[in-house]
Amino acid sequence: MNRLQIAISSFFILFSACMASYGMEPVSIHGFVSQGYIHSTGNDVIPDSTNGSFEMNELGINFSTLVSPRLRMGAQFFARDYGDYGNDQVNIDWAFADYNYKPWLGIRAGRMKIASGLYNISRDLGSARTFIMLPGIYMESFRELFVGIKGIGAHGYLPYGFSYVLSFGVIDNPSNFKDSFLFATLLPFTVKGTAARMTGLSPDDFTNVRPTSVTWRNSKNIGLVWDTPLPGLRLSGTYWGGRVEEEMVFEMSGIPVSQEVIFEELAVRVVSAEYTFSDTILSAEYMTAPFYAKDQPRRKLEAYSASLTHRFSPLFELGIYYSELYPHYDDKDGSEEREGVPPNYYWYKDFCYTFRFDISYNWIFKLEGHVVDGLALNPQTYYLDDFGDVKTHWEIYLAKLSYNF
Amino acid sequence: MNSIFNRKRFTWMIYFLGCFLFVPVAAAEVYIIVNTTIPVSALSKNELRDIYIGKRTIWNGNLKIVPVIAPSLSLHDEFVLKYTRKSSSQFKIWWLKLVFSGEGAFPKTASSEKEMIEKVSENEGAIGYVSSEINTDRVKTIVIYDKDEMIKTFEKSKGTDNE
Repeated sequence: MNRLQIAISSFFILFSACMASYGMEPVSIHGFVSQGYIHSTGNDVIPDSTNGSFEMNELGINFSTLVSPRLRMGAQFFARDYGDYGNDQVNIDWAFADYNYKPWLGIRAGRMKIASGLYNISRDLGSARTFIMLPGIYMESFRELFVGIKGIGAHGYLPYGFSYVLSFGVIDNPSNFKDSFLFATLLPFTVKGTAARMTGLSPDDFTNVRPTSVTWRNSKNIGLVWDTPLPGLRLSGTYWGGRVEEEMVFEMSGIPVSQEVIFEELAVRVVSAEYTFSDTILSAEYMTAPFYAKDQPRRKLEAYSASLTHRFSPLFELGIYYSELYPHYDDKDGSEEREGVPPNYYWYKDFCYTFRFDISYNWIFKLEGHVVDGLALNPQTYYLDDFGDVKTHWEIYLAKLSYNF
Repeated sequence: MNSIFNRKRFTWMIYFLGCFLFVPVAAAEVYIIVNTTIPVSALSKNELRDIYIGKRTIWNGNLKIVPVIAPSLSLHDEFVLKYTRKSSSQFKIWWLKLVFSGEGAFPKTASSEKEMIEKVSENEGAIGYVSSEINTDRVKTIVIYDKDEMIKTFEKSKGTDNE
């Protein structure tokens, strides 16, 4: 936790004490912590997960208060460990002031969560969902991108069951983007492949490809939800994205080279439907993520999923989903081998089943299994020296204990 | 064939899906109480729902709405099902999402009906629910009406009058 975060925490605690002494609204404090265990067969999801790993945990704490009946302020600190990512570094997850002028118009300023699909806003909190690992449209390996947007926003509830959220600013993550799977691992593959095609050299002639800086510009997040007249049916559409400027360095046959890669658009669009009937929830989501670098052809990721959950009792809930994810919507079988990886890296089909036990109001335990076909966007399999050393059909097993207050 | 859906897994899936056929049912009388500072004597079902799912946070006149819940009571299950169209667990998850994304503050909680009445009487702008009608100098019971049903009844009576 850095000095700024300590200062913000101290501010809220002191502010709370002051407000309480003046008979005003005290600061609400809520938090959560979870510890997971992951075991996979055939391929690693995080380092050494084939032998079982506990490098999978999340913790967060938030402070919020009503400064006046219409003005609320708050901040949440969040840390996670997911193999090589996160490493329990504490970051500001969200921190904003929210002025509710009318039910149809609220104004926010600060660092806000990104609305993407039905569940991204609450993805940090395991207790708020059935599944441990979300379907492919939430791209766990790109999670750093989904965290927050820093700027200003508006939100509200409109007639006929519509509600909206708008945010403008920059996509922001305090834990450096340049260490993320997308910018540090996946894009170097693409750069090597593209550079090799342009120069006639082999991809192996391009070494030490790494980003030195990643900057988002002109980012926006738009979300619209419609609670339809049919009770329990909710439809949603979300968009977020912006322009990205990435500085990269690499060696071409031993000669150091610097290259700027500009993504004119890097975005995620999701349409979702959720139907709640008694204790059963049925949902379906479809995502496309267009991205294209300057002077390069347009490309698009595609993913879709359908899930079903049912609560049998206050203690026990079951859930299943099926999800497919394709890094190239126009090359789903990998026949073009654009990134220098084998065809089985061009899809990820996942059947998931989860058992959720609400041990008490605050304690939750989950067991989950995944039957997987393909390797697309699974970070660990991109680090291998020999891509032939992977299993196309494999399984993942997880257990997770969560507590929230 | 070594694919996601081999025969054994398919059989398990069918068994798994078969488990989803349970549908619980619940119904009981619930009375809505508010602090007497609140200038309303009736709310529509939709207005009450908006309050309890965090969509509406202010009464008319800049008074903050303070919803109170009692999750440990069976009355809570009946209340949330009837007025928010959510099961108790869905209601809890809904609020967890709001609280941990910064979009709302969790309702005040009570552990019994007695405590619910106390909290509603002590907090200006508070609203809660109990199993019997209560009217004191600090707490009053309000009427909850179904706007759609009222319109339907009105249209029906209008039609009868015209005949």
